[in-house]
Amino acid sequence: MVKNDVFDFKRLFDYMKIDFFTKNRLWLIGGAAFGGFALIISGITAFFGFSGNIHLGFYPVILYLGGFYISSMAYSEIHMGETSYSYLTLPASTLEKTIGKVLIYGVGYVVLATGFYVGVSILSEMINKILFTTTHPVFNPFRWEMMYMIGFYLAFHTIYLMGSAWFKKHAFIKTFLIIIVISLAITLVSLLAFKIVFYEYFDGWQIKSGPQQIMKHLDTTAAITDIGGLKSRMITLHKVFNAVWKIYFWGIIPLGGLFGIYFKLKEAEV
Amino acid sequence: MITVKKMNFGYGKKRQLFSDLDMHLEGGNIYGLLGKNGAGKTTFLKIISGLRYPSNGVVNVLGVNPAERKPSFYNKLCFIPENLYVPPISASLYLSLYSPFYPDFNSKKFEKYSKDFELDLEAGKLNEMSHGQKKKFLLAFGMATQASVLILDEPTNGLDIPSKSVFRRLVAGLADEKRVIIISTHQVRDVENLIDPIVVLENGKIIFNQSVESLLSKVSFTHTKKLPEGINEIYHEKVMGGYMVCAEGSGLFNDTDLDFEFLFNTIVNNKEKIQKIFGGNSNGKK
Repeated sequence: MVKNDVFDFKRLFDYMKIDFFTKNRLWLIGGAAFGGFALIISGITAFFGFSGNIHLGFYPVILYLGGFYISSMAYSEIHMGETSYSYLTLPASTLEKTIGKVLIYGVGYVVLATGFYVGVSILSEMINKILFTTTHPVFNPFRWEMMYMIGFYLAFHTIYLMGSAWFKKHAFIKTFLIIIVISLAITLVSLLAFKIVFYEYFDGWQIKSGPQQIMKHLDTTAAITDIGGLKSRMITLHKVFNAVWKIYFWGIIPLGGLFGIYFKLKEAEV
Repeated sequence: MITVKKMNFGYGKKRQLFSDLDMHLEGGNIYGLLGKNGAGKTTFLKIISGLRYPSNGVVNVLGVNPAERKPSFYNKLCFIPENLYVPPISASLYLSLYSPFYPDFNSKKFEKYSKDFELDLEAGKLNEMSHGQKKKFLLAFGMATQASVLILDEPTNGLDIPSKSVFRRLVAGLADEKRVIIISTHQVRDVENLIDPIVVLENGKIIFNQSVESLLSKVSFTHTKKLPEGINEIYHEKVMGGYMVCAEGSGLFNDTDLDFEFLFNTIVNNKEKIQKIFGGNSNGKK
């Protein structure tokens, strides 16, 4: 039987198994370190009688910092002489090598990190209950904010995966700096465009007070006096901006990351 | 099985390595790829494995362009590089993770090769093994994949003396019409009586590509106390107890052993003479 050279589920699964079993050391060390840290902080805050929801603050750290950090090391094997032979000659397609990492460091990481943190929070609160009587609410991942956070991570982690494929050293820092620079550039261009389109409502770089009131209440039903049709133009712009932002964030960023990884893997040489 | 036509490759614009390289490697042979440092041996191996892209020309291995990096190509190719990598896992886990990628992987053969190499597969993680043990493990695995193209870069580096002999025996047993084996090495004495034909690369060019039979049909070698007279000498070297001599003509001496190191020196130091003796065939062109 001739197997598909582009995509095969069994090969993808076998490839993911290799990645999971050969690179899990960092996950374990990072998880143990973070889990220990969370237990200590939880214990200290319980000792001082603080009963707020501290786990909501810890979860983004393990999700974003931990996830983006390990994502930026996902393709480290293509940059090292010894490992690159083994990795590039492994009989899996470039598409499988792209999707496999996206699944492991995306969905796989979210499931493991979330499950792990639920476990850490339960353990920490059991300890707190026994030792200090004060407890914090146990971490509940099934909240709307958590789902949004996870969605944000899933969309954004492909950029860090791409960074790991492109940068030989310090991929995490380099990717982070590039994101900052690109974000600043987009903000600057957007501001300039906004100023050009609405130049008559600016006083130098300052938006005049009337238009400022309109901008503040765009999402509300508050009765605001329109100034020369500005409100309707602003509402349209706001809708367009929202749509563009959604396409950019949920579409262009993850797809751009995927394409970036795929083409870098295609051109990688030993 | 492997055809390279008018292939060009360089490291940057100023360091052209291969210019219009032509080569054809047939199944059933164990090619010995020899050359000085920087001659292009490892780069050539990388190109035919799809790990480096030539700037132009044709590279065809098992009927496909290796640069496409197809899984169906890689499950018939095994490349064991000089610098080894083994993941930090046990031998049994390695087998269960990697063998599914090779449809012809034969576990019984793997067990046999491991036994022949006296490998202790229960001795902890692979990355904690010595260099020689890692090499033997990867050789056993690579041979058990039953790949049609087996590429070995400096395979005897790090192997102890008994293992080198086991290596020669096992590799010799792999040679068949459906398989091409390429061994690149500087340790030519380790692969004597194993490699045939011999391919010598120098500065990105093939300066010699002959079978041992073809070689001995045109030149003779001897180890003698005094330099012989009345022969058409190509090259000689002073060695312990006399001289090593290479002369034009078949069956001039009674010696039967071919010293590959001396042969290599003869070729690289007498390129023009060798070219003249073997004609167009010295670079493998027919």
